[in-house]
Parts: sequence; C-alpha cells; structure tokens
Amino acid sequence: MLDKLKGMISGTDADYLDIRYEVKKTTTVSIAGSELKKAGSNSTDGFVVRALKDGGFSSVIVTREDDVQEAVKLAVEGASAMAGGGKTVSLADVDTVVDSVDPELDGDPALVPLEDKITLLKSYNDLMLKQPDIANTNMSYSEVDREKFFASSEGTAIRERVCTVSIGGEVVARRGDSTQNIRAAVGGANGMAALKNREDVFLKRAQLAKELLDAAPVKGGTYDVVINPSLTGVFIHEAFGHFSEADIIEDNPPLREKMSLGAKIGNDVVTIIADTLIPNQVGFYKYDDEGVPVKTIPLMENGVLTGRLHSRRTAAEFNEPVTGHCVAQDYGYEPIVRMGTIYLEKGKLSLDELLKQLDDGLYLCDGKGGQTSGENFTFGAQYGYIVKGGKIQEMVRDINIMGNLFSTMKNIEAMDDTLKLSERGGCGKGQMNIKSGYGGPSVLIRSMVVGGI
Amino acid sequence: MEKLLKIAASKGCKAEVFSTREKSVSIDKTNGAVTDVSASIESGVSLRILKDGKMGTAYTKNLIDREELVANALASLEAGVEALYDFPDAGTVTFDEDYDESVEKLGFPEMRKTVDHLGELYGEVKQGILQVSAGCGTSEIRILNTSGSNLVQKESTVYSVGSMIYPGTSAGIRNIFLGKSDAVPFEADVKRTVDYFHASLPEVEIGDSRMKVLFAPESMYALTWRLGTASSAKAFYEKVSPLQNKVNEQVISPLLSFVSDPSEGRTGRRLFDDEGVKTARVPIFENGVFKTVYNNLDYASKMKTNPLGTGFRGGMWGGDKIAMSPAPSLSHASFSKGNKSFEEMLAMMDRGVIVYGALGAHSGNILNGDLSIGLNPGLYVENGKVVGRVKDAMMAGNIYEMLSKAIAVENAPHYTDSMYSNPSILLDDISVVGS
Repeated sequence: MLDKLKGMISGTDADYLDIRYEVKKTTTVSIAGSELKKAGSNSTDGFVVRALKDGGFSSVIVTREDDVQEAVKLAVEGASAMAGGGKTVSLADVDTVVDSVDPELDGDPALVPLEDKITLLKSYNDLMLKQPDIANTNMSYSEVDREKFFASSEGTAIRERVCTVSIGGEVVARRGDSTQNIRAAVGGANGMAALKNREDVFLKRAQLAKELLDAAPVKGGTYDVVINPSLTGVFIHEAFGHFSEADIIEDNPPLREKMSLGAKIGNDVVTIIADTLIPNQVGFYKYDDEGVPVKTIPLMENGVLTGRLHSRRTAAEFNEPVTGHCVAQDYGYEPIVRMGTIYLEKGKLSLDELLKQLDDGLYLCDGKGGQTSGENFTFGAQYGYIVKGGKIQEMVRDINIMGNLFSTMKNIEAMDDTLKLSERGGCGKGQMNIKSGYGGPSVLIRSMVVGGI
Repeated sequence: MEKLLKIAASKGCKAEVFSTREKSVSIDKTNGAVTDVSASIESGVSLRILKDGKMGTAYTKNLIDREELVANALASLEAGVEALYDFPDAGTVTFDEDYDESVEKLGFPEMRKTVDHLGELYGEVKQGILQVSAGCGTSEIRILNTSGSNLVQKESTVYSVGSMIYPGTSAGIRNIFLGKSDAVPFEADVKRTVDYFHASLPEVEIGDSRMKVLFAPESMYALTWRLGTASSAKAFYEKVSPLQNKVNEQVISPLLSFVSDPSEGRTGRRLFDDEGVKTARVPIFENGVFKTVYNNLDYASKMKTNPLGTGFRGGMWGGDKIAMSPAPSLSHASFSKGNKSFEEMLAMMDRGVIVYGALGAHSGNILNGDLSIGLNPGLYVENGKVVGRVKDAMMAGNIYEMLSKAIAVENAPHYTDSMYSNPSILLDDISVVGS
C-alpha cells in the first residue's frame, strides 16, 4: 500500500503533499438491559489528502480509491484558494521516517471470536443487573483496530497499527420516580487482558448507582473541593490540556500572550506532563497522522509553562519544536492537534491528609464529561460527598463545576500520592479521539463554582 | 445496490440496503485571514438482514466485495439480536425538492467570495474575534429493501456563518444563513448581532440568585436533548423514563409545543426516515401536554404499536450514518413558535440572563431531565437591555420544573448548527450561580 500511495503522490505540482490511507476494523456488541442490541464486525477504509502550495494548505477526504486523483487535484486547488488569504502556512521541518509498527498486545482482539466477546460483555452486564434497585444497563464492547499507511512527498513512509478495546456504558438505578445512572468502563490499548477479571469494577459501579438514589442534589455555590484521580484527569484535560493545544490559541492573540512559554500560570505544586509513550496506556502511539514521532512533553513544571502540543503547521507558526500530536479520528477526518495521554504529577500526602487539609468542602468523584471555551471550562462529577472537618459525610449528586483556567490553576493547593490513568479515552474536539487518555492523583482546589439543581 | 440485495435475499434473508453519497467543500476565515480549506467526497453502504426473528448488520465505505459484506451480516445474524419487525413497502419514490443541481458545481472560489462578503458585513471587530465560514454540499440517501421499497432522497445545502467571539473565550454570538441554493446573509440580522455583541462585552459578576432566563435557539439543544431522551420508546420499553405514566398529562407550560416534523424546514426535509417509513408530524408535547412516545421499527414492534417515521441513523452529535443502526430519533424536532418578538421578550426581563451557549450540557443526568450548565456566553439583561455578559456563572435545575415556568415564546424560529430551527423561550425564576 505504501508503494501505491507514493505513486499517487508522484507528479504533483504542490510544494508538499501527503496521503494517509487507513483501514479501520471495528467490532461492536451492545446490550440494553438483558437484550442484545447489536453485534458484528466491519471493515471500512478511506484516504485523506493534504496539499501545501504557495503558502496555502488544504485537505480533502475521499473513500474510494478511484477518487484519489480527483482529491489530489482538489487539495491543490483548495491550497491555491487559501493562498493570498492573509495567512501564509508553512510546515516545520522533520526528519524523513520509514517504519512499520505493530502494538504489543496481551491477547490480540482480532484473534478472539465474536461469541467470546459477547459472553464477556454479558457476564459483566448480568452481574450489574442482579444488584438491588438496578433497573437497566446500556453496555457495549468496543474494538477499534486501525492500520494506517502514511506517505509524503518528502519521502516519509510509515505503517502503524493501533488497537483499542473497551467495555463500558452506564448502569441505571430506579426507585419510584427517581432514576440515577453511573458510568462504567474498563479498557486499554494492550489487548484483551485489559478486559478480563474486572468483575470488581462493575459491581462497584452498580452499588454506586444504587447509593445515588438516596443522595441529595448538591447545593449550588462556591466550594473548596478535593477531586479524585478520575475527575482530576477530566479536569486537567479540560481546564488546562486544551489550552496547551497550539491550534486552540493560535488565532486568539490575548490567550496566546497569556500562554507564552515561561509564563507562571499555576501554583508551585503543579506539574503536568503529556506522555503518549507510556506502555499499555490507552493513548499510546508511536507516530502521529503527519508521520512525526510523538515526544513526551512537560507542559507545566512547578506552575511554569514549559511546552505545547503541535502539528507541523502550528510548530512553524509558533516557531517551536514539533511534538507529534497531530491526530485524526480516522480516515474520515484531517488530523488536528490533540492530546494523547496527559496527567498531573502526584504529590506526597495521603488521601486522608488531603481531606484534612480541605477541612470543609466537597469530595468529588469520577468524571462525567467536560467542555472548554477559551479560558473557561466545565466538567461534571458522577457523585460526591460533603466533607466536614476533613471527614467524609453524606453523598451528593448532580454536580457540575465551572471555572476559569488562570484562576483555577493558581487555586490548586495539594495532591495525594496516588496517580491513576484512565482506561478509556474520549474527546470530542470537532472529531472523536478515543485515544485521549488522562489522569492524575486526588487534588485539593480552592474556590470552585459548583452548579447544583 | 440491487445486486447486493439479491445476494442477501438468496441466503433466505429479508434485506435492506441503505447507501449514501456526499460531497462538500468549506472555507473558514478568522479575523480576515483564511484559516481552513477542506473538502470531502464520501460514500457508504449499510446492509441489514432479517431471518427467523433475528437481525444482522454490516457496512462498508467501498462496496467492492458484495459477498464479503453479506457474509459479515450473516456472521452478525448468528449473534442472535432479536428483530420482530419487517421492512416497509413504501414503493418507488424520489424526493429531490430540496436539491439544486447547480450546487454540485460550487467550489472553493465561490465559497471564498461568500466568506469575504460576509466578513465585510460584520466589519472590523476591535475586541474579540470574528470568524466567518461558508460551505456547500450535496447528499443522496437511497433505501432499497426486499419488501419493495426503492427510495431516493437528495438534498443540497449552502450555508454561511458569522460568529463574534468574546475576548478570552471561544464562545460568542452568531448568525447562520442557509438554503438549498444559496445562503444570502440578511444585513439586519448581522447588524443586530453586532449591536448585541458590543453591548455585552463588559463582564458582570452576578452572585447567586433566581432570575429570568431566556434560552436562545443556540442553547435549546440542552433542553430538547433531555426531552427527547425521556420521550423515546427506548426509555419507555426499558421502563426508566421519568415520563413513564404521564402520556396525556400536563407536564410543561401550556405555552410550549415540541413537535417532530421532517416535512418542515428550509432544506433537509425528509419524506421517509432512515428505515423507509413515511414521516409525519409527531407532536411530542402539545400545549405542554405529553402526547407521543416516538419510536423506530424495532421499538414499535416491541411495544406493539405503529412506527412513526422517527427512526434515523446518527447520534446526538451526528456520526457516521453508515456505521450506526437506526434508532428512535428527534433529529427533526423543534419547539413551535409563539407570539412575542425577541425585543418584546427582552422587555419582559427586569433582571436576567440570555443563555446563548451551554457549556457542559452533556454531563448532567440527561434521562432524569437534570441540567447544570455553564453560561458561555450568558448575556446579562437589566431593565430590558443587554448590559454585559456574566462571569463564571452556571444555571441549574430540572427541565420539567424549568419548562413549567415558561412565560413567553418567540414568534420566529432561527436556524442553528442542528439544521432545525427553534424560537427563543423565556423562563421565570431560575437558579443562577455566579462568581
């Protein structure tokens, strides 16, 4: 395939051209309650062509090989339409790479029969349905196995397979008119081993859903909070991570100024790392979708901005080193700057010591999605507890937090000594990235706006 | 497609072939500079087969090996997914009233002219960012099934969008113009947006209080998402809907009607849903009374009722129609218009906030109708005038309680990203938490 892509590139009058071809094999099994809703495997493929010409840059997506030459022509036309439009694009220099990469899998999902995957999903699902007050589940087995081929007019030619599996969904508890749900997920990028013998996880989630039926909505207001590692991951992703993506700030001059490397925007205790190369982690890959080797990037050290995530285009725009973070959802999308795995470094306190330092406030647990908008962010917690005098009291629900990047990073006061990374990724920045992993320790943050109901 | 249907039928299966072809181009400009230029030409085929009360599915982007696709569907059938329905016979119909062939010829040069013109209408933005974009596309959906349906639905869309983004955020207020042939911007609409933008630039700290809240069409999805989840046949079949025993009961304000009608709209109308069932006007809420549990073929059969033409592929955020199975969907539903102009509604607000953007609308207990969102942006109103935008503020509540407090509905719907238009809705006495 790489030779075929090289042939498609040859003869172009673009200053630079690349083609990514991808075969995406998916296996999905879905269950709602005790009813199997979907089960099957599919294979799809497509091409993404990008061209740079006279300072203009354009991308074209096609699904049929017969349309690739038309796509090449259209991409060059698009680049020409952009040229002279007030912004000149260039791509940062990179070394030419020729490589082929396969993941290290503990149980290759491609070799496991569909019926075994259904059986595994059903076993966890049935376990949850048997618990008291559990009215329903919506659970899925998801396997995404991508084989990517990338070739550029500079001579780079890379094949890389990335494979992600997960079992997850929601468990719903109901009593009278009250319905509460909790998310559950296990998974990773290291094969079927990540999914096996995980009964304890699903049992715990069903119990939490039941306990939420007796929880009161949190009262809206401003609180000091401790957030657990799952929520820290979402928080770091939403509150800080997106602002370390160069494309988010590049056309926003005030934000770009505030996010200058060397700026002190966090408290002294805050160190944040983007490390996509952690073995077995859900975000793992070796080359991004521009053929650039991914690097581990310290984004913030002791509160000082030290790095940023880039595509070749944004690295040239900012005159900063390439990082290998230009990633596409699949063959249907052009690559954009994305986080791989991002985490907050742990501290030295135990969780009990952290809660004691909190004194009165909220202990909030497990991410329920988040969103960012410029300096502002929001993220939800699946459940939480009122804390009085450092002691955990009654459970609360319906928790959403809103804040501002710059004030919140200065309000991070302390962390505990246990770092955990997410098993399943997910970020919807224009396109879905299931390899967006995150994590951290439990963290004490002062003065957070919490919206209850 | 006919060959694929025949191969599937030769295996003793009832079969449905759902195929798509789409072309699009788009250009974005930020503060006067072209920042993104892209295009796509995509196709796909999805096969659904029924045999002995079971269902199998398979899909591909490139239909090269029909036998392989059928084999994948047969392997899926073996898993034992129950299916008690049959495919409808809707005859042979081509619906192309929303298709203009001339859009096929539009490309980058035409879209470049459109964004340049739109940018000139807004003028220079001294604080914040001006983003303008223009695009066009055509699409065709074809549904063939062994019951006899041969349905083709074609459409074309041309759009232009102007967004004024507040300093330090990526949130703003905007205008969307669209049509099947062109997207001529209305200068009066642009002027109104520019005026509101400048009036709302100052940041206001509002503290915690209860006040009037006006949901703009752009944030309406935060409410309709929750109404749609609770009124779906899926939630009723699973007995988890908070509306479970409330059909024909007054649930929200009599001012509000929420209706699915795929035959309405400026473009993108549908005569048939994605399962080939004829679409119709389906009132979900009529004058505040909960009227209809919407469904698709699967849930209609499970609940022993008729399919309503509300079975569509795609999720809340879109998604690949080819890869996704049809599900009960309110993708064509909106609130009915009321009798107040936007300015009259504004005059009713002694103190309040216009929710123009909802941050985190996906993270509450959606099935229960609970809502806790960041106001981003939230335009602050005093004595009927926009005087600023709220700083770090959230609003929260349960939508059934909130929608019972509706006191006015706008007399004109406005298009948003979802392609379906909604009027603004004014609510009284809502909890807002600010910094």
